Amino acid sequence: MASSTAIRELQRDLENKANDLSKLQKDIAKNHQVRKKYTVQLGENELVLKELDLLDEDANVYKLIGPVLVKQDLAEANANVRKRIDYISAELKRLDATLQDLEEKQNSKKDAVCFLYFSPVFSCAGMMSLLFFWPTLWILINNDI
Amino acid sequence: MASAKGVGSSSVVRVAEMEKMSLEQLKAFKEQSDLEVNLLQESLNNIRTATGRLEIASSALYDLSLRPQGKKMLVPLTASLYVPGKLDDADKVLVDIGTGYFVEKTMAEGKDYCERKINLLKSNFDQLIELASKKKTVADEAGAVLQAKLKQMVPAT
Repeated sequence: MASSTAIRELQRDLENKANDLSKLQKDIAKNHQVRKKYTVQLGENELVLKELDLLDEDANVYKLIGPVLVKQDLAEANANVRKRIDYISAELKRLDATLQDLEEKQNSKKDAVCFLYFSPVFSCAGMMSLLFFWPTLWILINNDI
Repeated sequence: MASAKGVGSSSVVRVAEMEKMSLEQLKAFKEQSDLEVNLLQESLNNIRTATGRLEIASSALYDLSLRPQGKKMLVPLTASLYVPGKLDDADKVLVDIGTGYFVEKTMAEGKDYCERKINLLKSNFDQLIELASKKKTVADEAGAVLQAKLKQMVPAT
């Protein structure tokens, strides 16, 4: 029957698109996780920098390398921490860019999927996955942490 | 953020806004708010433990400053193995300032460091607790509106 093949076609299309969408969502979630890690590190480094700034010129600073404490110049430690902060900030900016890119892609995918859900032949399965996806989508789209 | 639009305005406006949402939207909104509340609560707990540890460090410093030089003591190598030792210099302490950096400080500076960190954490804690209670009200309101809507749904079907 022509109509049943059409429905099957639509369903397959829908499935593919839904898979793509969930892959994108996974990527976004991973991105969020990495971002969180970097943000924590940035905060810690900033605290260290603040602490180093408060020190006297001749204060003894040690760096933990493996199990040993190695004496380090204050200026060197300062430069090191600054460099780390720069690197982490750059990395965060890069992650922001990729996240934006991913979200744009996700939005267009979401539109495509929604269009299929609400097409004249909208199947029961489509409705179910809409209910399943909608909250997740909503959270991911509105989540800008 | 999704819930940010409701935070600044009064609770009446917020509830009215929630009433306008569809059931799915509201459900998602409620889930999101709950998630945020949980996250904040977790952060609060972390801050609390961190403050506790700093307080322990501070009191340990104070304890150390009371001991005279050359005082005999037992140093823990592991949780169950102790070796005898002598207190060499109680005035110089090494402070871990994070990311693998240690700074040599005098006793007074070390105490000052602990105090400063505790105060910083306390101010963060106060800010966070305010935010958390605000978020909690939003989440509770969302829950109440959701319940009301669900109740309305039942006679309709």
